[in-house]
Amino acid sequence: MSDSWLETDLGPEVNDLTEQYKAKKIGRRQFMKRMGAAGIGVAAAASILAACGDDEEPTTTTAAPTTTEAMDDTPATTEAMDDTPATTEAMMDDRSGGTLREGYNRDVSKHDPLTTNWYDPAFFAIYEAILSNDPSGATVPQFASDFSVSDDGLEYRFTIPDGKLSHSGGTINAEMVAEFYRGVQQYSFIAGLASPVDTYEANGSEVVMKMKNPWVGALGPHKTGYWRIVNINTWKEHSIGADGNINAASIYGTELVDGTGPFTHEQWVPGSHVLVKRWEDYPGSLTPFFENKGKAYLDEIRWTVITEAGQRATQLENGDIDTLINPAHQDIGRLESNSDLTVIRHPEWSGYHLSMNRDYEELFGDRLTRQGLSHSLDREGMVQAILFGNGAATYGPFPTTDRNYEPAVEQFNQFDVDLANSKLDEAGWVMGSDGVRTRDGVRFEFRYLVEDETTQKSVAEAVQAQFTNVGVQANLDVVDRALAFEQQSQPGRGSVEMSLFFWLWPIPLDVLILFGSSATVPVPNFSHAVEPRVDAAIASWQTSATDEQARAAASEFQLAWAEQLPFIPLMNQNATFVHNNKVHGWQPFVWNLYPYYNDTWIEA
Amino acid sequence: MTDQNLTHLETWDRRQAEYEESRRVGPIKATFDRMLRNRLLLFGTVLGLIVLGAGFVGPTISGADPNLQNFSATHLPPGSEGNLLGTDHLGRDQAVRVFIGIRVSLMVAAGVTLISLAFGLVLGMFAGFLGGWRDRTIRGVVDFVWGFPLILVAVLFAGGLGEGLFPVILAVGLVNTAAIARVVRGEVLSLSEREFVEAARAGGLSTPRIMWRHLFPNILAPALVLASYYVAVAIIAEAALSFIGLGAQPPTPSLGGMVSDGRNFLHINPWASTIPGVTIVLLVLSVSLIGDGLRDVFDPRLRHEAKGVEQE
Amino acid sequence: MTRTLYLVLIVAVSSVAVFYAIRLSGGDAVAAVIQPGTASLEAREQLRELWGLNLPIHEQYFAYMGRLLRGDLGNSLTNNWPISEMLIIHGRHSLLLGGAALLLVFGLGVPLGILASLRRNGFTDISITTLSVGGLAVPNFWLALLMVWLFASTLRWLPSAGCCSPKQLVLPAVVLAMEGLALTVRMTRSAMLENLDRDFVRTLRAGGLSELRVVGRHVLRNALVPIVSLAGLRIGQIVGYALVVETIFGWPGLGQVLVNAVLRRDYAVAQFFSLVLVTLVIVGNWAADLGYLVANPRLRNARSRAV
Repeated sequence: MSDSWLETDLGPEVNDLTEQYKAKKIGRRQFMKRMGAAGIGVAAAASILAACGDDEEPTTTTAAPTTTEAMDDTPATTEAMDDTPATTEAMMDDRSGGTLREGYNRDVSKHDPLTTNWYDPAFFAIYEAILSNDPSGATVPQFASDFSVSDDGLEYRFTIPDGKLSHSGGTINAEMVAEFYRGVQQYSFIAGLASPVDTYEANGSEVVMKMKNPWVGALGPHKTGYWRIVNINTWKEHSIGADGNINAASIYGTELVDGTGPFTHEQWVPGSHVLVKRWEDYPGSLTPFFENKGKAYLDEIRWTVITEAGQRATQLENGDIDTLINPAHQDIGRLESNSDLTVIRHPEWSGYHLSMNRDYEELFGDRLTRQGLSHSLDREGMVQAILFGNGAATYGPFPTTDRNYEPAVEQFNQFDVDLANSKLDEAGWVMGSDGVRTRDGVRFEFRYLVEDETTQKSVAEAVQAQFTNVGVQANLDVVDRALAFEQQSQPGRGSVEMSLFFWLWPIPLDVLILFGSSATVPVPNFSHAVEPRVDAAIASWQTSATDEQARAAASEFQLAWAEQLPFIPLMNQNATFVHNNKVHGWQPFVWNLYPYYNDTWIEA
Repeated sequence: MTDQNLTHLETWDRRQAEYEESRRVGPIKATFDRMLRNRLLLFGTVLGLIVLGAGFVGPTISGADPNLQNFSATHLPPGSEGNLLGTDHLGRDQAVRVFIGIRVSLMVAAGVTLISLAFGLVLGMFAGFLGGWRDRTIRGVVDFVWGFPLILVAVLFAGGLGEGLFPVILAVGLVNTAAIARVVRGEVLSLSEREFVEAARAGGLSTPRIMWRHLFPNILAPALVLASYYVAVAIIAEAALSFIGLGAQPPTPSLGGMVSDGRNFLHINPWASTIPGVTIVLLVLSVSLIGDGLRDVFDPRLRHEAKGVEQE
Repeated sequence: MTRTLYLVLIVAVSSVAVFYAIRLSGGDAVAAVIQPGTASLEAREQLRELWGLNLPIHEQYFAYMGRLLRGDLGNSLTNNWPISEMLIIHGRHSLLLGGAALLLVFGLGVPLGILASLRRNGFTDISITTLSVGGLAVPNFWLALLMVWLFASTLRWLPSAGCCSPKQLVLPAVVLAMEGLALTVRMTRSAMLENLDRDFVRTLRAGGLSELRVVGRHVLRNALVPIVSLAGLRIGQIVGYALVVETIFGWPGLGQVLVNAVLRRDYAVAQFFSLVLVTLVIVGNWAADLGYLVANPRLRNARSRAV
């Protein structure tokens, strides 16, 4: 479905290669090589691979879940789920127990959907969302038992069944859910993602969400970590001060959590680990694709923070952890050849982008200059060298495998040093004797900020050297994540000139809107870019009532971005999940950022 | 501080014999003879010359850019065509980067030595010669600073000044200043009781004059020897700090930073971190052998002092 | 007595130094916690006020020390975690690692040194001496990599990182101990050699005492007292290297916490834990001084005059 353009646009040779690949006549590497020879970019080839839905590259289409090996050898396959009767006691005993030790590539964020600025896998264990994506990408109930949309698209109704509780034992009925969502609107920094939503009210056992205008994207944010359901009374008790503002010293999310998921918060040690325990009073799951409708099998889940990239794979190989999120790219091949482990790779809704602070008008004010910079970058080379091919170059804002990906963006931003130089020349930048360009007495030299993380540092270094090739001097400054954020997010010239950032979000368009909109200067529009074309596309997306309109708006958004370059897109990496074969029912799939843990059990 | 003390491999007997010999045959010839006979010094100097030579001449000969990347030639092993020591994760030439890395290490060492010699000499001489409350104050501060682990001081400086080579030089320079000041003070105290100083005092010479004319020349040699000793400390400290991200910032090729970059690729390219790692070891080894040798040649008594440094 | 006063004085002075050093640069933790959507100037100011970051620095210092002396350690600025809890959890980890390293330094270093001295110039001596030179010349961060590569990745005998099982303790403890271990070996060896050559030993030997008795009873005692009295110095060394070693091995101790806090400009955490480590070092040095005096009574007069 999403990749139908491939078939039509890319001629018979490609189709032929694709068939050979599907029939496993040729390997992945060879496929990529021959596609290259046929003049197909890595990005396009990778999307075709993804569309093939083989073991290595589960696809973004409905084929995705059937391909993950984990599912084939466990009864926990998605197909079986709907038919499986409720878990028997015998099965429960058989599978119950154990601690899942999961390696995580980032430091942990606090477990508070309302105030965190990043959400971790633990959010999928501690909290339920009102709805979820199932392995086919369809929207299914989770905390709600049912939902409906009015014909005019202005009213959404969610049914909250009786007997729903939070960890503290509090009743979570429709009124509590509505109150929680009102809390999100009032306190969450990211509430703007659902700005077309007008009000949330409870009506009996239903939560009624009223829209300002019809919007096909309305459910999206509600399935993410920031909208996962919290006992709002507990939260307010700790997190709202006497003055009605957020209490910065709140212990909610660090020492105390009152969530709705099958596990309870036990221990949270930043820089080290997070521990959650099975919630014995879990009222049970309504999510159709969970096989286990009762309380979780696992006694505990422990996430270990492993920021040392090289360490992650080693710990899994040595049996120090059972599952791993995002091994270093260079280790994936090794893990794949290990028969005790299963590697699941799928496209990740993420991207590496460069911001250019437009308040430095003299540097980045004109489009020609930005395009010159962009053409100097060998994205496909970087994907091979830094991501070891585990990703794709991006020429527009979206990952190439997104449902709404517009391949026409590939006409922009291609690697071409001569073109880069001529655009910079045309923009008035004169090459100096020291190899750095100047224009009207301004030297093309600036500070270039990057977060202290292995891959990002490599990307930043690679970009910096390529800028040098076209006479642009970017002075790298590597700082901690929090500090990087501060220096990116000041108004005017207070923000750093250029920065590299990485975004991760299950609905690319939603988050890219936040980055590209003129309404969000300076945070998170770190470029302070005001692009009328981008703004217009955003407006038509947020008012699109049909899939057609939404698709057209998304297309225009991408083209405007690729041409105007509010940010320079670089590349997109695959999400990689690895598990020991003794772990079952751990099913990361493409539509959710993280796996759920309801069905997970470990062979004794 | 103990990490400043590297190698003492000889016995007291031999040094004593050399010392007595120098009294017999005259100091210059004895010194020269001893330099030639001192195998440690010889070995250290040769090793040092090779490493330093690589650092200074290497980049000039190859003329290559340490930041020139080649995405289709990453992680090449040593001995690859055109890349003597292979390439790193961005396809940059390891040989050129190691050469420049040595330079960076030596630059830091030079900065540290300059700072610590200048301040160490001044503080030590003032404390030792002036005595009284001035001595007690200086001694207190110096003792306080000297007792600190270098890395902790450097981390605090990085916290204050931001990451980079400058805070590293400052931090290591500060701690080494204290180390040198301690020894210089001791030297001055013992010199002050010697006849020529007494004579100068009796002759009515002013304090600054005595310090400059009579004390300084006598103290310079031991201070220089000691400083050479601390060069190794500076090199290791810079590498360690760059390793944890507080030292040199990319793309500056620093040996510690290269070991750090390479650590993620141990499985596919162990050379990436081994080559800069071995280079650090060779550099440190040669510098400390030279320091040891110089000490033995110029001032056998300093061995006492160095030992005192180690044990106090 | 004077020494103890001096100790208190330098701890106080270093608390000021630490407090100022950490604040030298711009940038503060307000940004690290504040949410993008609420990053209005007012919100930032409110937080600064809450944390007292808007006061003159000396007032901040006295307010801070006041709270500290009352036992109120405050919370982390980046994640709101109570510092007292961090101290307990991370301190425990550090104590475990540091203790293990200290045990290795002396428990392994002294016997190796003795062994080398008794086999002077033999194969054992040369091997031990060479290893100890290596231990000093190989930077510990690189040693850590080599050991992870050998014992974790290749042989798979030991975990490469993590906390706090005995197996996980081995690699970081060995790396942390290495330099102190090498120094202890060499000091023990040379102290033993010096004592073995002394007149009283010859007299004892001539008097017909067995070699074992001579070494065990007389030489050892003379040689070891000064070395063990220096345990305090090794504490400082271990504290310093813990910053690097804990970071590499993902060992959640005080060193890792401090490095991260410095990188994140989390003043509250950075200043408290620097103070803890600085105090540890000072106390260690002070103990070494005392130990040295006890071990060398002849120096007592000379030293007290010098200070």
